[in-house]
Amino acid sequence: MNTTIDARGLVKAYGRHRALDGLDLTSTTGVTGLLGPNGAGKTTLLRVLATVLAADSGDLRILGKDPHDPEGRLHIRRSLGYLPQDAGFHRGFTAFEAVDYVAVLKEHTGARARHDEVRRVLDRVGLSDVANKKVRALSGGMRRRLGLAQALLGTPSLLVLDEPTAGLDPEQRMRFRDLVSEAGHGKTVVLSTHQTEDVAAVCSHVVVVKNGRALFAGTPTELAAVATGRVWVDTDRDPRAYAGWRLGAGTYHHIGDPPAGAQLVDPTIEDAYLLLLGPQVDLEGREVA
Amino acid sequence: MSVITAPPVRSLVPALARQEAGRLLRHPLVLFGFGLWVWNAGLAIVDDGGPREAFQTVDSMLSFFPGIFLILAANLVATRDGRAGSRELLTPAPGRLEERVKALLLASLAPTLLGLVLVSVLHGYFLLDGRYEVAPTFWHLLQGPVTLFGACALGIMLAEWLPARGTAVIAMVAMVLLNAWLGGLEDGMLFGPLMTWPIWGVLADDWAGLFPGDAWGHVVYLVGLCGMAATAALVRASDRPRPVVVVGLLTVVVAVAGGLAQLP
Repeated sequence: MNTTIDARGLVKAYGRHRALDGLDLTSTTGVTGLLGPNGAGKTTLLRVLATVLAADSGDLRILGKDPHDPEGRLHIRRSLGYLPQDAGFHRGFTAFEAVDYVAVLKEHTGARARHDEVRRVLDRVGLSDVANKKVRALSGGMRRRLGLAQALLGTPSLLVLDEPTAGLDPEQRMRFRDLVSEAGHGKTVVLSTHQTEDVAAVCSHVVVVKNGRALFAGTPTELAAVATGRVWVDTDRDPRAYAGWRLGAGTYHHIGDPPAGAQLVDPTIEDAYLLLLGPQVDLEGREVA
Repeated sequence: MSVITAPPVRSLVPALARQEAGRLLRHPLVLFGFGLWVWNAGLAIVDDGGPREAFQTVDSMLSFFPGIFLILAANLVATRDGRAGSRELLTPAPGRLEERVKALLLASLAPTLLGLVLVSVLHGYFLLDGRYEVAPTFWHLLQGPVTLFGACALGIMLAEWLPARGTAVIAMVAMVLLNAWLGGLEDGMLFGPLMTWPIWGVLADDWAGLFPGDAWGHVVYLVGLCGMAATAALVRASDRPRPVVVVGLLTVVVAVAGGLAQLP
């Protein structure tokens, strides 16, 4: 199997805080989803993978190259598409100009071929109709898609997407998932998200990150299996559960060590994810036990 | 292993420079500045203000309109990515900051060339219309366009070294004040960014001759200053600053040599 990313013991500290604390990650072709709470180190990891940041220590190979080496870094950058969490574009640019500008910086120097490529990626994200609209006139969702469009320029071998579905409505998220799945065909996509549904929908591989370390790495099915036998429903809230919440039908969904005779249900990725994060939090991050 | 696309061999600087040149020329401040120049040139054509006005319209007006505005416009173009929050997105692009600065400097030739064309056309009209007492030389015509490049280079340099908002506006005011101060010194005007060669007579349209000094030396001096600003901008962004520093020192020599050569 082709290894696109091979990270061993990555450490990145901001002062005393270790955003990455010996993190290991292996990624191959397909879509890898990073799940984790805020401050887990997902964005720092993606910034390191996108060569925006250098890790303080650890071994990292991306597309077979060492990002610390200037030539290796350039090689990686030529094969990389990156969508940061806050992808800012000059508000006075049109959508076309914004992507065209990035295209030049990605070394698409021939005007005709570059413009064709810009039109192609704008079409892929469904922004062809607003190509001549100023960025300031685009909605938040459109700007997010514009960010993805620039990341798709040149059909990169590695796509790094930081919370690509944040702020999108359900229809846009569906479209995004479709795009990301397509982009992951024969290529490598690494994305971070808070949406476990996104992971279930598009990821072939999932890594749960907490406190700068990888708690779990495997397929979504394997992740869900972590919670097998540890999810149950009851008519009353069970205070012994690690996490629990009221369902629409009036019953309570619980995660943890079930009492004898509990009505077990099939776990979801979300259940396993919450279980891995520990017993202290519920979906809103509140202490429940 | 995933397929790695073959590294392109062509430099991105010319392509980026073309984009930036278009943005610079379409910048509202640049349009406004050139608009003022065209307006004043039109007034000079319609209302014959005499040979002194004709001469200074082609030798120095360009330095004021749109020169002063170009400092801010080039600075805004150069600081655009930082203000838009695009740096994070652009950092992993293969195009390096040094190439972006080079492209901006190359793009600065666009208003320079536009200025040269406008001045040349106006000069041609004045020649045909017999407006001059003494016709300006090529060097007199060149000084205005050169100051336009200098204004852009100054704006870009400030963007690299002092990217905070307002520094370019302060620079614009400082350039005007510096020019006014130098104008009060003997031969001082030759060292300012806005050199008006005709001497003012008793009446506004009197021809009282040209300021003593050499126009070619003045242009060499300006070119030296432009080079200093350009290399100062580049050295900040360069991965290998030493060659840029060497070129920068050479531009200092050019500025000093031109500065001395222009003196009467």
